[in-house]
Amino acid sequence: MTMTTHDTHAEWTFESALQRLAEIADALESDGLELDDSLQLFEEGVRLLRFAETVLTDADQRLKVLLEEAAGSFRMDEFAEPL
Amino acid sequence: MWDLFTSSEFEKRESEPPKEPPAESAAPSAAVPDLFEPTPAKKKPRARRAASGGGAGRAAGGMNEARNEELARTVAAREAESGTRTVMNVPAEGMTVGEVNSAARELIEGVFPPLWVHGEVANFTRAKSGHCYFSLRDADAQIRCVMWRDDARRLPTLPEDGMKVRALGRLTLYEQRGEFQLSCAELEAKGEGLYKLAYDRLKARLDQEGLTAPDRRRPIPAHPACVGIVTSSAGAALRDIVSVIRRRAPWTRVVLASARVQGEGAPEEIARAIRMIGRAACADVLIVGRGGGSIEDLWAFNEEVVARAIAESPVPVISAVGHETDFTIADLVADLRAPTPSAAAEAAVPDQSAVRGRLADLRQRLVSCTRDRLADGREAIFNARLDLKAAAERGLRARRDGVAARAARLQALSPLNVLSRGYAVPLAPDGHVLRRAAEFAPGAAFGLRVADGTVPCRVTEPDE
Repeated sequence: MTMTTHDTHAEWTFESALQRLAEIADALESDGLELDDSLQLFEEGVRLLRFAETVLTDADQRLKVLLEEAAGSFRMDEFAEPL
Repeated sequence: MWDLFTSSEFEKRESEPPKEPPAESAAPSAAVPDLFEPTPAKKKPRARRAASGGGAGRAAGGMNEARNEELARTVAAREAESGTRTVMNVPAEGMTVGEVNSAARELIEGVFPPLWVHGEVANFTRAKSGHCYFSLRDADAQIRCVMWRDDARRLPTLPEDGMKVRALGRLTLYEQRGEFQLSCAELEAKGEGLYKLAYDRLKARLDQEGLTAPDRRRPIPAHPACVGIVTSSAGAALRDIVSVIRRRAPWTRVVLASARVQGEGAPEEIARAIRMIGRAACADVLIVGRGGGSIEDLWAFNEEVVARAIAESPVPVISAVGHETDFTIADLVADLRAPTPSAAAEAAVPDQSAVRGRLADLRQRLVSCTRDRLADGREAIFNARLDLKAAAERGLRARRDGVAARAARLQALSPLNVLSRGYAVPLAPDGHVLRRAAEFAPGAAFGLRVADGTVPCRVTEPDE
């Protein structure tokens, strides 16, 4: 099995992080991995877990309203929650 | 103005559905001369009109819709106020065609209030200009109808010939042709007729293009970072969606592209908002919808522009229009139909307890299998060390055994063994072996090597 490791967290989304974590867990549970590789995967998994948990704690999201500006560019404004 | 219409023909028709006040028939003979005598009649009809204006209110025409009466009342009242109509003066030499048509048009328009006319549609055509022309007919009569572009645009779809409809319109006369016609502002088919027809027609078209095929539906992402919403910024749907997302997955970003969801221009606004979310590429899933309402209120979601915008959306779309029982074209082309806006939000984001549980589970798997793996590694090292030690010992023993064997062989070949059996070797002082008698010069000294040492010797003189 070839397991390339991605270490650039900038491109992670919650969804892809979870997906990757599941992959890593599957790989670790399967036989045929060198100890070296599995330790590397474990480290990656720990970083992903930390990332995912940070996402969950970031609960102070505001409702934004998307507006189109003249030149096909976009602007996000705060929007008062309709509650 | 009612007094202008006193011809027996008109009376007959009008009296069948008694929609106008009986005030008219009270003084028919007085009105007839008004038409043809250029007498100062300005005052009289005006007074009459005021009277008949009140009379309109009394009309209890059984055949007419309540709405007709209302309209008739308002029209009569309005005209009673402004009432400046004069009785026609017919010149002695007669009138031109244009004058007649123009006068007739004024009369017709002045007399009939806007009214609902029931009938069957025939020869419906829409001109390039967008204006629609058709006839309404029943068993033995028909009337030409026109519906101008702006009114026709509000129709969910164009009616089919033979459809039973009712049209709200004003009677008029098309002067260029001298044609009597009904200028329609609204057209309704019986029941949900036109809406049903519009729905079926659009669905058939989209079906044919494959836009409603189930295999076009994309999966909804399980953990979107951002949910887009296209709905009215003032509607209950937005409030419902946002509060469900806040409760279930409070870390999710929510972006609204607001659009009016009913009324003129709503379909275009909804389509534009959907496209904007797609172009801005800010959302992982898009909820398009509104709260409940009548079929007219929900109609924008049955319009082609909305259907196409949904079908073309690069972001998976969840449709959420009205209540459980409302099915729209938007639902057919969306990637997922949710019965209500709240249900759409539930389908869009996971529940936080489930997510936390999943993360905990992944952490557990990661840690436990790595721990196992490390334990395995440690055991392997321990075993390797044992193996190494055994191997080293084996090697050492083999070497020792080899040395002993070689020593034994050396022992067997040693000349000392021969000496011990009684042989001796004469050695010159320089150590070389004396093998021949000639090498023994008389008086010469040599050593005799025996088993346990060397005996110094001398060759005796021959004389001795």
